Amino acid sequence: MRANQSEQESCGSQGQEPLPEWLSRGSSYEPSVDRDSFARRNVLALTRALAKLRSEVDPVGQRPWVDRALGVVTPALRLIGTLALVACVSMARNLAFAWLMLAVLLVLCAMRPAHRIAQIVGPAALAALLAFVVNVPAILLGQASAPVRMATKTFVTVGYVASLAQALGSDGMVAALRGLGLSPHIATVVDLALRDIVLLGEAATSLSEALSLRSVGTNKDKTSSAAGVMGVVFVRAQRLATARAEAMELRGYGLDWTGGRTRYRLRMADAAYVLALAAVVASFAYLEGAMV
Amino acid sequence: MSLVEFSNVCFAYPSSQRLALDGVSFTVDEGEACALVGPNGCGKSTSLRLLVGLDHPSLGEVRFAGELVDASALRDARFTKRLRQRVGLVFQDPDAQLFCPTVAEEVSFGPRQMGLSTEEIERRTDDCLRMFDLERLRDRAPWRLSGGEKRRCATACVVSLAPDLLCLDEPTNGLDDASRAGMVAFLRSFVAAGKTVLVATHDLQLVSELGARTISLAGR
Repeated sequence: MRANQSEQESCGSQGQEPLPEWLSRGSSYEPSVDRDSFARRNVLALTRALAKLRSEVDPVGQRPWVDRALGVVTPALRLIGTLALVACVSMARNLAFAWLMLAVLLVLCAMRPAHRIAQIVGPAALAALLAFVVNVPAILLGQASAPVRMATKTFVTVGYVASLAQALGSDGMVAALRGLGLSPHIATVVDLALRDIVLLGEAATSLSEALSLRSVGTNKDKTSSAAGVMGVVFVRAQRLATARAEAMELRGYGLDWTGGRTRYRLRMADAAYVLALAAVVASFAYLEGAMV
Repeated sequence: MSLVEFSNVCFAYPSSQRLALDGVSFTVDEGEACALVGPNGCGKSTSLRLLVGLDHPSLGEVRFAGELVDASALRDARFTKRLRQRVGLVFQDPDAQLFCPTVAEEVSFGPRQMGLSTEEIERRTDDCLRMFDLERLRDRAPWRLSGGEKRRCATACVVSLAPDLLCLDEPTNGLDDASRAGMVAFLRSFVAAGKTVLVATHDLQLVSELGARTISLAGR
């Protein structure tokens, strides 16, 4: 985007009113320091997180090969596979299976770019830390390994779910739910809810930025300003929902809507995925049977 | 010395692989009216966001009144607040800018924060409401206003800070003929008083009416 500068003819200045004196004089304002940066940054971080909730999936050409390979598997099957894996890890009575799945997760992570690894490992590590802290009192009851066991299981399960969510994106997740036979109405509500959360997150981000741009001094009533931002977001949510409902009605959305379901056909990629999943379940059965 | 200076500025939004700005350089002198023009997505709004420090360039420099506007400078709260008092930005979407319960409170929000006296706050509020023809709407909720009224209200809110540089993103969108004429007359008066205006717009008639120097950003 190169910039070119050019001159244009001036149009004259008919119809001008002189500005008030306070506006036309030079600025000599010296602001005081208000300790609001912590709150402001955190509000902005929260609203930006909401705006990113429906994050875009990388274009096919930019995905790592592991995601390209898994991308051809039917989303519903991947959802079932992840749920089965989570169930196995949760039911495992010893850590061998969890360690095995952790190793697989870390290998899968290592094949992804750094920002994608952070999106998987970040929430998993946070959840694991929370699980560890919550289980610390178990040590006093003689369950010395409980915090590590729970933290490991939590890291593995959250890691796989985050990995699935990242690979499918919200559109893929809704497609997976539809594939599992979920009512098209409920799937549409989930889809619209995710979309609207993002829109409202963007609206809240813009309002917070506008607030920060006009926060040029000491705000004695920060609560009121924050309440104003939230109030406007709620009003916008209500308007958005009403307008969306009216638009859907005008386009024929009703209780007899079927959602345009397509017939499922088994593909090679799906068959390979089912075999891999069977191997995981078999290893679970073997490790649990052999090591109890 | 130029009031605004962009030197070889590159910027990409974190969610995008594409550069929103690629090596943009331009200057704006004190007391002139300038217009950023170009096709959709060429970086007009992005340039304004960089100028007020909402985003930071990936490469290159943005300077206001000779001072570098970057992440490190904006960590100084005094610098940031001074910058945002001197550079007013009116967003393209006025809904994104209005958060107070009434129009009058919205306009007086900035002056109240500046710690001005009650008389001065009232004077600025009344003047701004009058200049933007909002007097009869002073007790209305901003979210109940029409599109054009919201835009005038958003502009009045920023003007009440008495900025040296007024940046406006598509300032005539949604304005009827009378409101548009009022906006143009105000901007001319603002420039005639020695202040600076930078508009991002597709409206070449506005550029012509303001007698603004054009800065063309080429799209890809």
